[in-house]
Amino acid sequence: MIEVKIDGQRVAVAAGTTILAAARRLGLEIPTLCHHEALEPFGACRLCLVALDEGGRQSIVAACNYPLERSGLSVETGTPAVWQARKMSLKLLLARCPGVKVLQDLARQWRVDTADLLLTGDGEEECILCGLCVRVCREVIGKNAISFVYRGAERKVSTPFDAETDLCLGCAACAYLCPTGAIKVREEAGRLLIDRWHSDLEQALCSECGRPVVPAELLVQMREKAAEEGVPGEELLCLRCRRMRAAAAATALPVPQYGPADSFPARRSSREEPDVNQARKGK
Amino acid sequence: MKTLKSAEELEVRREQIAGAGHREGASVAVCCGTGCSASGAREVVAAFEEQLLQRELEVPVLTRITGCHGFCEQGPLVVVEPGNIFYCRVEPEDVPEIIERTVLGAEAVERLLYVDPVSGEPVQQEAEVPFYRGQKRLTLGWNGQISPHRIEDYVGVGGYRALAGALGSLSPEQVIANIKESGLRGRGGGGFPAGRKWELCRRATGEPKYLICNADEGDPGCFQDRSLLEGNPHLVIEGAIIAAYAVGAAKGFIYVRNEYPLAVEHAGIALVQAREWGLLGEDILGSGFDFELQLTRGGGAFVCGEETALISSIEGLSGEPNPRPRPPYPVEKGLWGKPTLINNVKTLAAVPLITERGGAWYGQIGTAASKGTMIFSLTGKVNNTGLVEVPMGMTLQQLIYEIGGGIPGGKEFKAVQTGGPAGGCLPASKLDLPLDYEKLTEAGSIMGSGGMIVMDERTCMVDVARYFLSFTVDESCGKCTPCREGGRQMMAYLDEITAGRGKPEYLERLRELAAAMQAGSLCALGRLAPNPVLTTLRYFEDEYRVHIEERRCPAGVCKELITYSIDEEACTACRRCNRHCPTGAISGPKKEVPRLDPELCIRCGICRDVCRFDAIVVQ
Ligand SMILES: Cc1cc2nc3c(=O)[nH]c(=O)nc-3n(C[C@H](O)[C@H](O)[C@H](O)COP(=O)(O)O)c2cc1C
Ligand code: SF4
Ligand code: SF4
Ligand code: SF4
Ligand code: FES
Ligand code: FES
Repeated sequence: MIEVKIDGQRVAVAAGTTILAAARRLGLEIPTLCHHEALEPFGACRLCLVALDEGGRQSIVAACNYPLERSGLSVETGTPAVWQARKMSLKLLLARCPGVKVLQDLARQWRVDTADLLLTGDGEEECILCGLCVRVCREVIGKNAISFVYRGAERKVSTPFDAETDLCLGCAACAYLCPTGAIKVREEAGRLLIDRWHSDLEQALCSECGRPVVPAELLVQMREKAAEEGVPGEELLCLRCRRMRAAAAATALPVPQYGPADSFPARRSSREEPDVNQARKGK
Repeated sequence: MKTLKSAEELEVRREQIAGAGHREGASVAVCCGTGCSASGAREVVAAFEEQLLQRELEVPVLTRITGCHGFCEQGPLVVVEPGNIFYCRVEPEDVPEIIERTVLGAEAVERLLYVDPVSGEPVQQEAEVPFYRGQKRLTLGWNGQISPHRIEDYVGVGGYRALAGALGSLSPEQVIANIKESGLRGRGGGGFPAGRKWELCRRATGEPKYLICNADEGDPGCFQDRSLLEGNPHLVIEGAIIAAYAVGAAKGFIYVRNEYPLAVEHAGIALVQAREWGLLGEDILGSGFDFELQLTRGGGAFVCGEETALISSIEGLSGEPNPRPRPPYPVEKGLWGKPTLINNVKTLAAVPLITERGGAWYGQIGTAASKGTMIFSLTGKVNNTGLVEVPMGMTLQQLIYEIGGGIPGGKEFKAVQTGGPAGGCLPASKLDLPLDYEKLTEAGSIMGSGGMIVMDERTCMVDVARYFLSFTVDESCGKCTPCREGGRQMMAYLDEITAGRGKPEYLERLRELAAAMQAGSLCALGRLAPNPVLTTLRYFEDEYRVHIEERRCPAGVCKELITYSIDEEACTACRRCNRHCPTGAISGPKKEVPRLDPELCIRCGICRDVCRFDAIVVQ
């Protein structure tokens, strides 16, 4: 364990803990846009900047990926210099993506004046290049369907060759984590579409009502995984039909026996099921 | 070739080489570096070899193919020994005369000698050429004496003696102590003390340790690293082996950019030779120390030279450059998470010399905190351009005027950009600044990896800032917000100013953006990128103001703020401009002062450059 100081408070953490994690332990708020607990730190948005003092040597570092390695370090999370740098990062993201709500909200909250900015794109861009989608797809879903391509102002997230890829399962984890709503998932004629990734996926249908429930390939893989874990395969039902059955079972109507509804390996076990468009946030 | 088993065997081999073959001291050295090869050096070599053979000399004269001498604009270069006679712009047709008169007759061929553009006098010997006279070519100097693909040549001039000495009689700690004493600092840009870095790597825990020689060299116009690897690969390899011994690295990589085919070829040959001779691999020179070194080829993006991006490139994780946050530093967790020493080519090239002659000796050269020599790539508006190796502490004035021969065409010096595109622009008032890491940083610039671009009075400083910034903006990997978006935003302001739409408050905006980029960027590219803007704002703010307040470009560069016209007094109606104008904007009957149609004029400036009478006026 090492002992560091954050905003004057002492805190003991394991060596290697990030400033962000240590600050959160103290209940201190540090803004972030490209960070997620479940993913590798990335350090791209530069909203989480803090002031670090290493025995007299001062610098501004990103809290989300700065590991605290030894005792005696001291961090200030809200100096004027820190706020200036954070606000500039926010302003610059707004110059790129003027229509994105999370950014607008933060600007209002931080009283950032954006009047003097020159727009650096067409004003339509919604992606702030936070990389959450890329990381969740790689690190959690294990698919690598999307990655960063090109550099500088041209940088963007894309599928291989910017074309439809069979790597994408349509799990929509990327859309779920995207802070700006840049990834739109929609259903059309029974197919699942993620236009940004050119994904156009066949859906498996509810065995009861015939409505599309989940991308077919995703279902196959979920079932394989469930089988590996010894969970028996079961009939595919949409949320509504599953509820109906559960209700029917509860009212003791004579229905065939199925496993408990929540043993169905949902795409995010702790979350409510489909309506993928609910995952869209922001706008 | 028998593998060398000890330092003694190396010395025996050295004596054998010295005693072998050719007429004592007689040779024709033809530079076949990238520059001279491009201007036809290979044909010159072929002519020498063929014609020397035809003459059936009793004791043959050696034709030596050497690496870059640093004076490429004068190439192909030929140096004839004995006499150190220096010829430039040699063509195959000149070869018979050189053989007849210089090789056999020991006299100079006047018309092939270099003419000093300042004095107008021809110069006979290479060492007397003003471009070379003020230099101290500790590392580059060997390039002219050896053939890069002959390990015998390198060993013949004392090569690998430092390595043998270190392995034989110094502990790794002693090698490090020596480097620390020398004061050598990283020549790749950061200027971090080399000895300290080695010590950190030595002490770091984790096996195996790695060494990386950074030969990515992304600065446009810089070719120091290329010239060393191309002209004297064994020097760099010897430095790398000594470094590996000092830090305890088992494996190393020379990371060369793809655009350097000759460097790749020569380094590749040299690695094979070193392995054959027992200087790489297992049990090097019978010391028990094992080290493997190999080439890897790099992607080409500027930011790939940044050490963490370079590491992820070697690991092959990401097609796009991917700088990582530091800490952890590469010396602790580098390649594949293991302690990794990264040094620049020039840093490693200084190591054999320091190891052999002692840190104290090296430490005498230079200033208090910047020791030894540095190789600069001198380009732009100077009479002599090329690679120059000078002691630290030399002033910009000396470098530009004594070695560079001053500004051509009698023009005024205006500024010098040091440290490459992410460096700073220094004005005439800083010409007495000594070349020293801290002094350059205080002045707002950097030493960088030795880029030096001289600008004359016809340069617009706003345009220059925009030009350098556009390079780093294009080369930004785009990962973090301040660098990617801040650079773009700065470009947008500069575009407005140079187009005559600037507003007074833009200068403050630029400064704020610069501060945010410096404070908040993830890697040094973004932190350094504002330097050209900041230094031009610092030293040439007036020029920005004229663009904004008077909508005028004083240097006559910014196209949207200038008009071209013809001065009827000065014009001799030679019609040269007429012929060169790409759009036909200049016309009129013969023997009359031509008319320039401002509607058709695209303000390319060609007419102004071709006019011999200064009759094209820019307002
Ligand atoms: C954008 C950027 C580009 C760089 N390019 C190079 C390069 O081409 N060659 C190099 O040796 N160092 C380069 N560096 C510096 C390296 O990160 C690193 O500091 C250096 O290789 C360490 O070696 P040294 O201590 O011998 O200088 C670059 C740094 C940055 C930020
Ligand atoms: S929807 Fe496709 S791109 Fe998005 S996380 Fe899932 S697999 Fe990856
Ligand atoms: S699409 Fe969304 S999650 Fe992906 S990088 Fe852009 S803003 Fe981040
Ligand atoms: S400035 Fe260029 S376009 Fe204009 S007249 Fe001269 S040569 Fe032609
Ligand atoms: S949250 Fe740390 S840089 Fe984005
Ligand atoms: S290549 Fe010949 S002097 Fe540089």
